[in-house]
Amino acid sequence: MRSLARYLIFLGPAALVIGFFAFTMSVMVRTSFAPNLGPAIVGDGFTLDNYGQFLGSSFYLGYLFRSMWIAFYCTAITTVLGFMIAYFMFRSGPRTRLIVGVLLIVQFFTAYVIRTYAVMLVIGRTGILNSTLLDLGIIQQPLSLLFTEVGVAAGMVLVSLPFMVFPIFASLQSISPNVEMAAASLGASNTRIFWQIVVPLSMPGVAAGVVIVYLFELTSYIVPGILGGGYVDMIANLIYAKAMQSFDHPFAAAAAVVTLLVSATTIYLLQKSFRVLSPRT
Amino acid sequence: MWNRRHTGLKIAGWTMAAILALPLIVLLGVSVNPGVEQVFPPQGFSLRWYANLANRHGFIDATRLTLLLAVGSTIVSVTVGLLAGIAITRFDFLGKDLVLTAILSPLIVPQVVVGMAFLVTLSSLGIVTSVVSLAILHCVITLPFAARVIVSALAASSRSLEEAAQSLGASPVRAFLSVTVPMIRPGLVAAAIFAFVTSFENFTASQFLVWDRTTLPVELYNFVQTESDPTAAALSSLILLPVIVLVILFNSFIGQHMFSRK
Amino acid sequence: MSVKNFIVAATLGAALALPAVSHAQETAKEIRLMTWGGSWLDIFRPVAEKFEKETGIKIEFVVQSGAGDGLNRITAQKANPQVDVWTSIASTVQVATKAGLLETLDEAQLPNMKSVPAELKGPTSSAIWLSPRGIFFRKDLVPFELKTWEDVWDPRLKGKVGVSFTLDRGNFLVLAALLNGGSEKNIDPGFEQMAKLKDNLHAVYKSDPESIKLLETGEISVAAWGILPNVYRHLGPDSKYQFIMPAPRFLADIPVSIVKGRSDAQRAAAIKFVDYMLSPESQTTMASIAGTIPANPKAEVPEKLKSIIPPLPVADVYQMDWSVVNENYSKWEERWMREVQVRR
Repeated sequence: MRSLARYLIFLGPAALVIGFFAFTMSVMVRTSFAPNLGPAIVGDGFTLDNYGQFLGSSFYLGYLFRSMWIAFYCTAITTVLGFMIAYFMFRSGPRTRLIVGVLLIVQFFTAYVIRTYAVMLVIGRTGILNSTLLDLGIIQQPLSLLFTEVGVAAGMVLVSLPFMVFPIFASLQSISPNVEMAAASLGASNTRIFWQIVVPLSMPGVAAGVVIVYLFELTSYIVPGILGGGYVDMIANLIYAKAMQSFDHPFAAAAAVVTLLVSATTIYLLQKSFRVLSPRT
Repeated sequence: MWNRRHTGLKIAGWTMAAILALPLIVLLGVSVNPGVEQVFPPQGFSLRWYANLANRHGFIDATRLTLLLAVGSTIVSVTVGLLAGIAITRFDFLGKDLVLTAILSPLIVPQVVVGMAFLVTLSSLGIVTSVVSLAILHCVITLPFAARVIVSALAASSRSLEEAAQSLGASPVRAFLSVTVPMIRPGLVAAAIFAFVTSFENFTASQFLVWDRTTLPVELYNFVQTESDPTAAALSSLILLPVIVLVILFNSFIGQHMFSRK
Repeated sequence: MSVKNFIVAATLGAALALPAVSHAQETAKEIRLMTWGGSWLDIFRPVAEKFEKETGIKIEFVVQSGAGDGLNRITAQKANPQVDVWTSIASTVQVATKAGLLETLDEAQLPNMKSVPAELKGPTSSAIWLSPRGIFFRKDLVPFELKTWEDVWDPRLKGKVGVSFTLDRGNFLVLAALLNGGSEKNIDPGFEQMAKLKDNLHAVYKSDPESIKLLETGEISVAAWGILPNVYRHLGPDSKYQFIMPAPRFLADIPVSIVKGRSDAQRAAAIKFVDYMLSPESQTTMASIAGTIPANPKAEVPEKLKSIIPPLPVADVYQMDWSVVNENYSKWEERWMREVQVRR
């Protein structure tokens, strides 16, 4: 196949889709440089005021940093727990796999808005978590989890777990059983096989999961909105507030562009480091 | 081979499964409340909110559109993702990381922004039907998921078998189809599931594009936002049943391949 | 009849018939109403159905998740509007008017609008109903029965109160200011008052059903900014929920407007529909389903409502200057996020 034709056929369709997306974003970038003439009135000029407003304010930047931090540790927790579930499925019989698999898939079909409201009922003052702990005498007063960072983190992890489990599981499954058998026959212990064969070979899946989950959590809007009650607003909440309540689209666009650049860089670096970790990509 | 030594893993695994199941159980419980209050544990048992669903117009329509979008965008994104994935893992060119990052870019932007930007752009292009707008949106947002999973599956699979097949006389296409595709099947399935689900439950971006038609998550959210009774919980629980049935059927139909090794 | 009279009569008849014919050509057969979804549609449906029966014009519903969302769409679709009639809230309609997105309403074409009191209508909108605001609380979870706004600040309600900033665009903040000698024109007293509420404040909600959920589970005992139509169903003689409307009172008027930029035929149909919505009959229908007060004084007020709110006409209703609110909202929002939405 001719070189150019090859690239066109294989990368062309993706280029088309992403190209349209880039076009959409260009409109937003244009807005970020436009002056704000009043609520819902955007001027035609060119200004850096919006960026100045966002980058010059430690208060607004704080939203971005807080989002990155929360997304970071929530992703870490999700990775550990997700790997555990994926590995559990991997080592279990077909019936267990089916049950856990169904549980995971079903999470997806319950709109995460509804699931988040369900989490509210679990961690609220009179929720089952508190009532159980109170009944067991572990605590004397109900824990205040709702509208705090802890509550939001718990919700984020729960909602993101399915996204982490599937890629890891897919990776684990692609590991040829021969490799493990060969290692075992050469005298390697289970622990050794786990850390030196299973984990490295699952890295592509872990990488995919980490990227997807981190981005999902960084740009999360519903979970911090509902479980945070305004006390744990993240960057997407700020952008939404500015665009939909104050009708200040240029500012919202500027904040969005900055967020975009920051997360794109993070992902690029993550990709590169995972390639280093994984022997073949 | 490993069964007896894994009690710790089993306990951890089942605990996690229980935690995952908790919100669903709560939903089911809320949906059978006899009163208007949405509380758990339920204060009784009543199916009135399920019956109330019959009064709600628009849910069936919304479900139909949501399914259509999900199926369509899954087919598109898995195909496009597979093609791109082959290029990224098999071809030799500079800037592979950049290409992958570009494909992932829709994920980098907060959904709120994607939705608003699409609203503005599509309006200026004169595209004013929800179906077309949502179709484009969903293809864009499902591609990153599908592509990423497929890339990692392709990366994990060994090229040597495919090359061996080629040296035995099979054409590159044939070698790919009969050797590599079965190897990456779990990855393809995962990609398809991801894409389908991303489209199916997409809310934040889609809400900006619902005009003449609406999707299920948006309809549900509007419901939850304007209703104060367990009907939304009833609908969500109702959706669970066919999903569980479908997954079990799907699994046995393709003979254990979905969750097992080849 | 003489030939002359016949000719005169025929000419007159033709002259009268002609406008009817051209009117039919000028009016669209289908128009779009953008409003809130879920049970809010149930308010408009009976009116829309009757309207279709009487005029043959069909109403298609487009759902907005909030007035802000609706404004956003109208703004984005400015060059090619997709909606004819729009219901929103008083503050947002002002923003839309200033941005030049709405048609000016002419009472000559909207006879029913003449009955609507002056303070409930503007150049580009008319209220279609009034929605009482007040305090919604759990009788069984509070140590005393609340009677005034100041009661929300009572130390006995520590950790039990929920408020909202975004509902009605900062209205609660303005109320706090009013209690402290300020107003929307002087908002600092409002923030001072909010600082005094810190110990009582447990939740800040963004939607009414959210506040109801929080009350239902007991997460909060008092929703200090409640919207009557949404809590209607929870009230009753045996109910543990109560709604009060202490002074200063707030009756939110829900405006309807016509979006600029549609064709003449569509605008004509939209005008007809808006007028129809303001007729006493439609007003009564909508108010009784919604649990609101009709904007047209000629319409009947629902019985159940009379037992919950003070007698009509309601005294001590505060008239908000929304243009001042809109101008300052962005600054207030930032200050609220900085000062109020932080855990001690």
